[in-house]
Amino acid sequence: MSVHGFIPSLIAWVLLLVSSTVSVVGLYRLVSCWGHGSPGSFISAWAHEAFRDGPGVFLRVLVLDVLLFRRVWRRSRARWAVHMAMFWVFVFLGGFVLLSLLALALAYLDPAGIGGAFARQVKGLTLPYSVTGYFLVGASGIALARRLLVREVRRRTRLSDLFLVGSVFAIAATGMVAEWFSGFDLVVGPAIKNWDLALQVLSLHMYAVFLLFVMMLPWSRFRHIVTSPLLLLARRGGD
Amino acid sequence: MDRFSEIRSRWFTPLQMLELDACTRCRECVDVCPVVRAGFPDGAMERIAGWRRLGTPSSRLILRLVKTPSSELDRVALFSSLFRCTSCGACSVVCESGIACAPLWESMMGASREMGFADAAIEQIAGTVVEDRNPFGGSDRERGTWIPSGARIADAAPIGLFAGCTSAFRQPELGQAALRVLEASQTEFCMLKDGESCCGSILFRTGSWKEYRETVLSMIADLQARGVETLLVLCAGCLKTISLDWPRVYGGDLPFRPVPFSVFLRDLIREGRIGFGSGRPLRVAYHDPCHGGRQLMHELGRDWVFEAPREVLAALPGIEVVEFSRNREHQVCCGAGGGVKAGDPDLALRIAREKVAAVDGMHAEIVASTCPFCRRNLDDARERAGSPVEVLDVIQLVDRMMGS
Repeated sequence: MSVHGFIPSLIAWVLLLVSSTVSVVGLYRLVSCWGHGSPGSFISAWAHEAFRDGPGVFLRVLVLDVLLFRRVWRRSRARWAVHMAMFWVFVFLGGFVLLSLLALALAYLDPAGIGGAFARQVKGLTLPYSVTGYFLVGASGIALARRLLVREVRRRTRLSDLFLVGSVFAIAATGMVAEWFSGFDLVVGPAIKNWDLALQVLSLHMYAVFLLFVMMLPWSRFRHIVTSPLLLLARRGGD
Repeated sequence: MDRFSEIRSRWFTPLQMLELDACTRCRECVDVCPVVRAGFPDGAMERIAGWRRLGTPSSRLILRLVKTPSSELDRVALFSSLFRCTSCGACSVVCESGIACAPLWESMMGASREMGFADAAIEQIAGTVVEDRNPFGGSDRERGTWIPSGARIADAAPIGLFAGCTSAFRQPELGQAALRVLEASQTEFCMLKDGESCCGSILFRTGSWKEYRETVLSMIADLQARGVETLLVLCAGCLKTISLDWPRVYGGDLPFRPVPFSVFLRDLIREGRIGFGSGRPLRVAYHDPCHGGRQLMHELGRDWVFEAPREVLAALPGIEVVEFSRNREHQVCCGAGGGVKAGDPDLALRIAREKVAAVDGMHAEIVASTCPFCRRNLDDARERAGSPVEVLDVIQLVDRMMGS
């Protein structure tokens, strides 16, 4: 489990605060820019369009187009599989990290003696966590290598594309290495277990998550994670 | 607010601002763009990226830091790519994020013109439309000359006919075929005749419609005064403009309903109000016009824009309708739209040549459409390629079969 025993230092708290602030400021700036200086006018225009055909249509678009990528499915089954895998792997890994943080807090506070039991339940998710983690490292590694090594792909790759793929790879790879040294990983197992090293790499992983993803979300091409669903909802699936 | 932001706020809606940030760079739009297929590098994806670089100070700073080509070069590439777009909207159909590209390009073009970047050929046509109320520079007196003397046209009627400039000035046979169908079906209808002006399509497509507002409003008032409830439209470009752009100028729903002429033809056939003789076997490929097809499918419905013309063709004796491998909303553009026929006629022909080659490959004798502009461009490409294929409007085929 990736966050067992990870006690955030002062630097980590500062990092968390700064990156979250930069992210929130960036998101505010984006919304403000979309509304030509007025976030309110964007939000009201968006809500008007998104709910124009009623909440039923909104929900249908949310499920079919945002969560299940219907538009991608119509174009290419292969790309749909990649999209689905990337999106749901991210959601699963993010959810697992949050659960682990909760387990950590419960283990520390141990209210009514449930801390240990909860931590053991979360630990039971180690197998899917490892599998999806390897999947993400493999997929982002292939994507990065193609952008660096295949001439045709490199020619049409912009700096922003490279940053996006490179960040995903850095986040996934540091998380995987931290997992190796923690001894929890199911493939490497306890063979190279080194708790101190695990904590150091885990720190690196958290820096990567906050500096390359959370902080950069509104300032880089990662913003499409927010903008694309917003637009699909406002355009009612583009149909 | 700097000048760029000021101009942008006049031309872009809040949702269009969101669209500029919603591109995932999946390249789907690039793969279907007819202009890219014809050899030009910049498709929708790069156009959106170019506009973003133009607009955000942070992108400009990054550009300087990584020493990519100067933003001035970027600007020239962006604007020339904009004015080379046929505004076919194929990019919208395949966009993963659901970006409504065609209206986005129109806003970009409007803002570009205000920033001082305009295409000389398109400016000239836009000027002609505003001044002469048609893109061909014809006089008001000439406009009605295609109407045969003795044609029974009421001054006022619930059904109106909007012929369009191409029928009036370049393809009178099209309007005349429509008049014969109307007469044969004993339909009472009215027209604006000399009072008809260009619908303003090219002005809306290229972001220069604001100077044309009064002309559009006066046509709407005239049609309303004549009691028109259903406006039959012969041309796909006019149909799109009247259905989507006129309500913006009018400030709400129009007092009449614009209807594709092919839908009217289908109704006549279903009601048995027109009949046909026998016909020799013919293979007819149907080309869905972009402006009357995928760009109106949400507004008018798929049945009206895609199925009605096919049903009309299928009802004609001896005719076998054959389909392009990409059809309906995935149809490949003929290359004429968005002012490209005027601004870069060679590019328009290059795109159309691919289409003509596809028709030849399908062993079709006729390629039919419902857009006089597509017809003109496809016919030019056919002539240049020496193809034996005949390019006709669906109305002409119906008229021909009625007379056979």
